[in-house]
Amino acid sequence: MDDLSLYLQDIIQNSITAKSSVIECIISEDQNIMITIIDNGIGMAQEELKKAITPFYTTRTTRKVGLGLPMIQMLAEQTEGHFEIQSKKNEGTKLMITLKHHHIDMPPIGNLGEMVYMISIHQDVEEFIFTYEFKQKQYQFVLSEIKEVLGPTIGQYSMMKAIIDMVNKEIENIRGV
Amino acid sequence: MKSLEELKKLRDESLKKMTMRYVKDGFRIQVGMGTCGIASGARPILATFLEEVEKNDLGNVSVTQVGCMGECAYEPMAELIDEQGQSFVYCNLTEATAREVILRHVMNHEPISKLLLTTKKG
Repeated sequence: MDDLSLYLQDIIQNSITAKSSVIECIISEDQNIMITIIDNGIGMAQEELKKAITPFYTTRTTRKVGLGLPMIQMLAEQTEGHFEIQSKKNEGTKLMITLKHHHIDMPPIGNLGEMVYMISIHQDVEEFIFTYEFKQKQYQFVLSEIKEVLGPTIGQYSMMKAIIDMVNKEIENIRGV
Repeated sequence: MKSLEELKKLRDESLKKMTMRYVKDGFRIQVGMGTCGIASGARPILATFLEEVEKNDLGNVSVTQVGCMGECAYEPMAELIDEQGQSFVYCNLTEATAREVILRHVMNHEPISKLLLTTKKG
């Protein structure tokens, strides 16, 4: 994967597959980048959780590998960061990832606006809350609020461009770029 | 009282009917966004579909993303479900071929066999 936004989209797709009605993604940028992904999906029992970070384990029937979690764990290790996953059956899953921002192996952040949009148009996503924190400032995207305003037009090209642009500009604003 | 399994079956049947009812109204394009789809460039493919739909004012086409489609080697992939509910899985898509799918299949009702997964798999 070329950038962090692609890794994150991939991981959040897992929450959708886990039938989550609410998915939250918090990115907190400082010396490090701390990412927290919380969902209220079907979760995993302890035995499943142990296997979840091995590349050849998946609960899917469409293919035999599950690379998403091992890949982001590898990224955390490469950048001398930290990876932790907590899960409870029928309650949900929480992922905490820390990446060293200025590490040579840190990929570019990528297009977070595009990531937010791609998650938002999945038909099974009821609520997606994306938060970006930089120092004392914070930007929050709440899908239900956006959907209330846009209704079905959220799936149109011009709306896609507008949402991506809005999210990226808000992030740039709080980062002072 | 119905068993949980029976209830699940009923739920799945209802979901199927709902999907069929939905696709009868028009075309539905589902872009695969599992790990393999995302890594092979599914995002610009979805954007291209949306752009062509809007550019050509196609009110009967909905574009969405789905998870893994199960054929990683053929990503980026998209499933097109036509007005009759028939499914066509397009594979190895590029922005150019995604445009072609809209122009030829959706607008002119000509499926492009050279891009279809079943043809690729022989």
